[in-house]
Parts: sequence; structure tokens; C-alpha cells
Amino acid sequence: MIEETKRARINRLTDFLRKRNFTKIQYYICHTLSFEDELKCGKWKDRKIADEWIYAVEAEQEGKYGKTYFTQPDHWEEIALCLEETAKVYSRKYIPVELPLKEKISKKEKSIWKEDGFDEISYCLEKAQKAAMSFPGVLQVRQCKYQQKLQEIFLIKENEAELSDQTAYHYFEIDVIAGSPERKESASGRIYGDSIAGMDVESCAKETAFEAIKRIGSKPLFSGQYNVILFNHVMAELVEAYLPAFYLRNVLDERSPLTEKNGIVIADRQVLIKEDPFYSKGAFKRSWDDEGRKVSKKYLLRNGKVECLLADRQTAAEGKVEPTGNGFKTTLQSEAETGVTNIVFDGTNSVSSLDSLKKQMKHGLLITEIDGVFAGANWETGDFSLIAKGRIVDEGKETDPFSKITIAGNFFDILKNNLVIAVDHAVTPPYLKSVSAPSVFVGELTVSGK
Amino acid sequence: MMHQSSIERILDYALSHGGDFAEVYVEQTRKKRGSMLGDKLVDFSSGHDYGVGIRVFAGTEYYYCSSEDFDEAKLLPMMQSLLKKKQSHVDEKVNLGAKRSFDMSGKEEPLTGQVSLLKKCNRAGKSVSDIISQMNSVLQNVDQKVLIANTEGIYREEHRKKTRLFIKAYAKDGTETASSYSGPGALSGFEFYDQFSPEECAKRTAKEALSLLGGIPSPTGRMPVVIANGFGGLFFHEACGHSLEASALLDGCSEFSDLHGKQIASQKVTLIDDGRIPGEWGSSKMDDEGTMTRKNILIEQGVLKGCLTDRWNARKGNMALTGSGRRENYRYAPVSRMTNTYIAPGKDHLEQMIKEIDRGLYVSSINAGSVNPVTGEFNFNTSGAYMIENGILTRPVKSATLIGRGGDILKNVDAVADNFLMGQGFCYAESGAVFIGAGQPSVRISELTVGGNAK
Repeated sequence: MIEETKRARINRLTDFLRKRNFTKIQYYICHTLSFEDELKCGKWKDRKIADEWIYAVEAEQEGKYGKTYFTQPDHWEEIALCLEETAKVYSRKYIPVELPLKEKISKKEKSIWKEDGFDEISYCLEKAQKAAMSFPGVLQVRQCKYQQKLQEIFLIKENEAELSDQTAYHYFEIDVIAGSPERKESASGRIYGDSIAGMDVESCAKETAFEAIKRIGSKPLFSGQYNVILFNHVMAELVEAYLPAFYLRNVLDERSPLTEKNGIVIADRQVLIKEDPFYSKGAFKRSWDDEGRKVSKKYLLRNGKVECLLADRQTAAEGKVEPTGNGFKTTLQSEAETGVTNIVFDGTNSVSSLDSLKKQMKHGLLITEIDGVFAGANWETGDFSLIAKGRIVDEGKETDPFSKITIAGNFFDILKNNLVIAVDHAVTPPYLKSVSAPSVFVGELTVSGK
Repeated sequence: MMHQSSIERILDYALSHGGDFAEVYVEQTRKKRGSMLGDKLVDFSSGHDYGVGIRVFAGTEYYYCSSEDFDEAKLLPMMQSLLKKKQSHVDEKVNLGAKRSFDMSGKEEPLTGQVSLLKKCNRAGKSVSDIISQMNSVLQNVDQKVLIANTEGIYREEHRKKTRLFIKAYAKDGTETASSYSGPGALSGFEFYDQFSPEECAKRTAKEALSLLGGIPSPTGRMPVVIANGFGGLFFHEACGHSLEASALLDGCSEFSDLHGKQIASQKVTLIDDGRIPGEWGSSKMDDEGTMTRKNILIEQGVLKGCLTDRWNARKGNMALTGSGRRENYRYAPVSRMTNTYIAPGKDHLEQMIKEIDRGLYVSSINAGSVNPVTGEFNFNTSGAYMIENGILTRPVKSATLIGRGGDILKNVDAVADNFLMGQGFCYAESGAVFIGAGQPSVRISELTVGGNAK
């Protein structure tokens, strides 16, 4: 439950707003506690902590809907003015959040948040750095970072019902530079866990260092069509970019390539894309969405067909369907719109490992890194064109590294291919939506190089 | 904002607990953002975001804490948890003296007026043709007050107002779709929209979207590329700008590390970052560490002359401050970032630059891009491009990706035109999203790798 002093401030604000003829007043409150420890280039240490609250309120005045966000709940006049101003212009029909009346519901989570000791974290970061630097060819560990973040979310309806939820993650990331001062290569690695003690940061550091070294001497390829395996975190980034195609909002607006594809087979039948709020390896652990709806496990894509389109309350009302528990704020200041908890990409006929994929592909490319997804992946058309690097696969084995090429294709065309899917799942970093995907042999893509 | 005595106590605490430098950053920001799709206001956010960030240096260690709570009773325990094992003896208390203020006026516009502007833009764009299927306009207004105090005696505050209009036009002809955007913005109040016609801007955006219909898949391979003036400057912002920020440059973490004074680009290239351009979107009087902004020449006729620093990285590299310490808000520690970055005008002419190309690409607008400063590898996605064939612009090209290494590209600049223009946008990096200007005249690169879907 929200602490009493904060609750008292909210109650006083509610009383003030009622005097200004606001009704149906409800709050979204987020408390963020975060800690970050970083070791840079072997000797520079950064340590950051944050403890902050942010509030958003929505209410009705004379039948019109207003909303605003703030960090100072005692600035009553300012908050009321923002609410009144937005109520004058916002033409959207108000769909109130439905919380249970006169009830307080709190998520019971025993082990979601462990506050690791500073000394233990520093020791683990130094150990990871030392492990990476032990490889000949490694020039520098640019950064070695550990982050813990807890978010407590409270939905409060006037002075009565309250719903609280929380999500947290512990995350380690390392960037390694290898090669020579004239020609550097870099690689990044990351893992999640429940606390630093439970995370094998040394192994992550070694794998990343080894990956950086394997990139030394990389050259562009000749342009053409190539068979391609997308490594697990590459596939996860790509899937993340195309999630908006599964939002009901974008289907209603006829922007999604899945518009009018109800009941039509759009993918190979073995492909599964599901949302799992309780996925143990995911970065999100919510029980409720930001609109007070229960989250649920569901399939976005199964048996080759779209099974569920995701909807927040506003979109659901327009589409005349039930919300799917996918109303989330993209930023703390924004309104809730369609979002996700944890997405998992899988296959029903998965093979055991990346090595199996390489053997099946025999000749082609293993893509170990992409960049430019933000601009180069178009979810409205499915097209993508991205800078990439990786290694040539010859007779099922990795050989020479390549870089400075682009790979291009269409995500929804890829889904139709006879994919070969491994089970070596990796999860996207915390600044993206939480998506887990394995390595996938996707078929042919267009490569642009020399 | 925050009382001077509170700030002084916080700074004193830092110095008496192992810190050799400390800074308090106080912020009060009000933002309004409206997004209109056609005639429908699909999103409107308005609110305030007030908070404080405290930074302490102690030798090779750096500490940062932030909160929305200005109360010392909350802040000092946070500092204590960061600095807990440290003690030091300090003779003098911090005494900040008189505060220096930089204010700015700027017209406020009620929400109804802002919504009206968005509607006019959308209607103007839609009126260009029936094939314009949708217009989306977004208006963002920021009113920010920052107060910065540090143990070196800086005690300054600045009031900044910024406004930006982002217009996107969608064209649809059968199954063919295309889009284009424009995003003028300024360090200004609402009077910025009296200086040009937002409706004409919307019409131009719509016409550009129409001209991109029937686009062919992007060609692939290496070819000469001409990048248009204006926000085409984002190309150099990414390709080399980030690699010249001290946060990347130091400790050998940039492709340009240890190359000061060397020829790293063609003689045609002069790259400047200037946070003082009056009224420009990326401008301010002081940076987010209290250092006055200034014009920084990064590359002059191809020779690496300087880089951008912040206090922490300037200390690490024993370098002068450049007024480049920036952050999105109090939740972030400042880091060296670009402000308004541009390629200086040259003497070549765009028409001649295109005429000399047998087969290449003309990039009329850039969507976004990113760079790995360590390797220098960058990538861009175009939102508007045309083939150049036998010296003239021919067919529009869908979504091309331009890639390369910054150091290689700078040497391949073989023409810089005289038609300088500045564009506005955002940059997302370690210290959050910051407003940036990116500009240039039209620039030709003799050879660049272009990627796309053409088989």
C-alpha cells in the first residue's frame, strides 16, 4: 500500500479538486527506486541512486475529461488549472479506470526486490572486468554496469479503492573493446537475474570478450542474397520492433499489416508469439496493467494465425471489445496506451541449439549484431534494412567475421518461411520492451556490402 | 525553487564526506504536448516535472542521486548512502554569493490556440490532394527553469522556452504508401509560429510525401550520395559528432581518440557545434552544468581541432570546458552532448554536384540514425530519397539504409554546397533525450554503402 504521508497528500488534493467540481478522480502513482554501479575503462567508478515519485491524475469536469501529471502533489492550483485546460480541449470520450470499490488490493511479492550491498556489487564488477581483460586482444572494458530498478505502481480511485503492483529487475551489461588502436571492434553482453550474487557475470564477461575478439579483422561482404541465421538477441530486437503490428489500435487505424487478416494464415504453423506476464526470465513482473486490468498469458500468433490483438481500455472501447490487460504508460508522463509485459518468440518444432541451426543452414551468415532498428524497421510494412555484423558460416561452422553490411527483408515474409528455431533464448535490454527470442534460421535475406 | 541555504548545506555535506567537487541541479519544467490525427486530438499531455539532481566527484569516483523531493531530510540520507565510507576535513563552508540569472520572455498560447494550429496544419496538408490519406501534427512546448550551483562558486539560473511543430504526411495510392515529415522548432515562445507559415510547411510536407509515391526498392551497393541541406546534417551528427564527445573520446573509446591535430576529413569539411546560436532549438545561455555555451570548432578544413566536454570528462582528460554538459532532466547526470551541430557552407553548387553523378542517390530527408563511437560504424535510414541517373534526379526510392565508418566517410566528402540550412530534432544517449539542431548545406560523398530491399 502507498505510504500514509503520500496518501494523505493525495487525499487533500482530491478534496481540493472536488471543490473545483471535479468528479471521478483517479490517480496513477509510480515510485521508482533505482541503483546503478558502473566501472569504466578499468578505473573510473560511477554510482547513481534515484528515489522518486511521479503522479498522474484524470478526472471529469462538466462531462469533460481532463488529465495531467506532476511531481509535487501540494501544488493544487497548478494541477487544477492543467486539468481544466485539458478538459476544455480533449475531445476523447472518457473511459474511467474500473477499480474494485472500497477495496485495497496489494500484490504480494516476496522476492521481487533484493537490495544488493555496494561492496558486493563493486567486487562482482571488478571480477567481471578482470575476466574480460584476461583475453589477449582485449584493449579495454569500456563499461561494466550493474543496475537494479524497482517500480511500485498505485492506482487510487478518489479516496477509496487502491490497487498496488510492482515490478523489478537486476541487470548486468558489459561492453568490451578488442583489436588494435587503429582498428577497434566492440561487443556487448547482458544478463538479468534476481540479485548480483545469482548472476554469472564472469561468464557473461568472458563470452562478450570472446565475441569482441572474434570480430577482429571483419570486412564487408559482396552484395547479394544469403541464407541467414539471426542470433538470439538479434531476433529478440527484431521481434520487439514489430509488436505494434499486433496492437488493435493500429488495426483500427488500418496502419498494421495485419489489418483484415482475421482467420488468415500469416505465418508458418510452428511459430508462437505469446505474452507471458509471469515469464521468469523477463524484465517485467506485473499482475495488473496501468489501467487496473489483470494481465494474462495469451498468444498473439499461434497455428499460423493471429489469435489476439492487444488493446488498452480506450482502444477496446472503440473496437467494441474487452480490454486485454495491455494498457501501459510508455513514459511516466504519458497516457496509458497499448503495451506489453513479456513477449516470448518460440517454435513448436524447435531444435536443440545454435550449432544445429548452423549445420542445417550449412552455408550462409550468422548475424550477431544489428543496429538502426529504431529507424530501419517499419512495422507498418514489415520491411527492415539494418546495419549488421557477424560471421560467415561454411559447412556448418563459423569462419570469417564480417561487418559494415546491411541486411534487408520483410519480417512478415520471414514468418511464412519454414523457419528453424533454436531454444537458446535471450532477452532484450531494459530500455526496450521485454522480448525473449532464440536464434532462428530465417532463410534468405538481401545483403548490401561491397 | 530551492533555498540557497539548503543548497549550501548539501554542497558542504559533499565536501566534508570525501567529495572534492559537488553540484546541485534544480529543475522546474512544464510541458505541453498535443498530437492531432486528422481532426482528432488523439493525445494531450500537460504537466509539471520538478526535481533535483546532486553530483559529487571524489578522485576517480563519481556519485549521483536524484529525487522529486527538495527536502534536505530526504536528500542528505541519499547522499549518505552513496558516500558512506568517506570522510574528509574541510576548512571553509561553501558560500555561493549572488546568483546570476538568464531569463527569456516568450508568448504563451492557450491550449485552444495550440489545438487550432494543429487542425490548420492537418487541413492544409490534406487539401493538397485526395491521395493524402492522413496528416498527423504534434506540437510540443517546454517551459524550463534550471538552477545550478557548485563548489567552484557557480550559482546560475536560466529560464528556457522551447517550441516545436512536427508534421507527418501520409500518401496512399492503391496499395502504394509513402510518408514525409518536417519538424521546425526553436528556443522561443509561441511567437515562433508568426515567423513562417505552418500551413505552408504542412503543404510542402504533403507534396513531398506525394513525390515519394511509386518509390522503387532501394538499390544496394556502394555509390555516390548527395545529402540535402538542413536536417541532412544529422548524418554528420551521427557519423562523427558522437565520436567527438569526450565521453567517447577518452581512454581510447572513439575512432578519433589521439588524433587531435591530424587530418581526419577532406579539406572541404568544417564541423562546428554552437550552443549560442540565437533562438536555435539546441541553444541555451548555459549548459546543464552552469558553463556558458559557446561555439566549438571540432573539425576545420579536415583537421581535428577539438571535442566536446563535460565537467567529469574534462577532469579525466585534463581538458577545458566547452559548455557541452547536457541532460534531459534532473533524473540524469550530465554528459558531453552536441547542441547545434553543422557543416559550414562551402562553395560548390548543388546542381553541378548532381550533374556529375552517373548513378547515385540523392537523400532529401533522413529518418534517424545511430553510431558506435568505438568503431565509428554508423547507420541511417532515409525517409526521402531519389535515384540520380545520368546527372538528374529520377525515381523516388523507398527507405534506403546508409552505412559506413565515420572516419572513412569524412575523407570521402568531395563537394560542399553554398545552400546552408538548419534542422531540428532530438538526440537519445546516456543523459537522456536532448534537443539538437543539425544542419548543413548539401554535401556529396563520393562513395557510401547503400542498403535496401532491391534484389
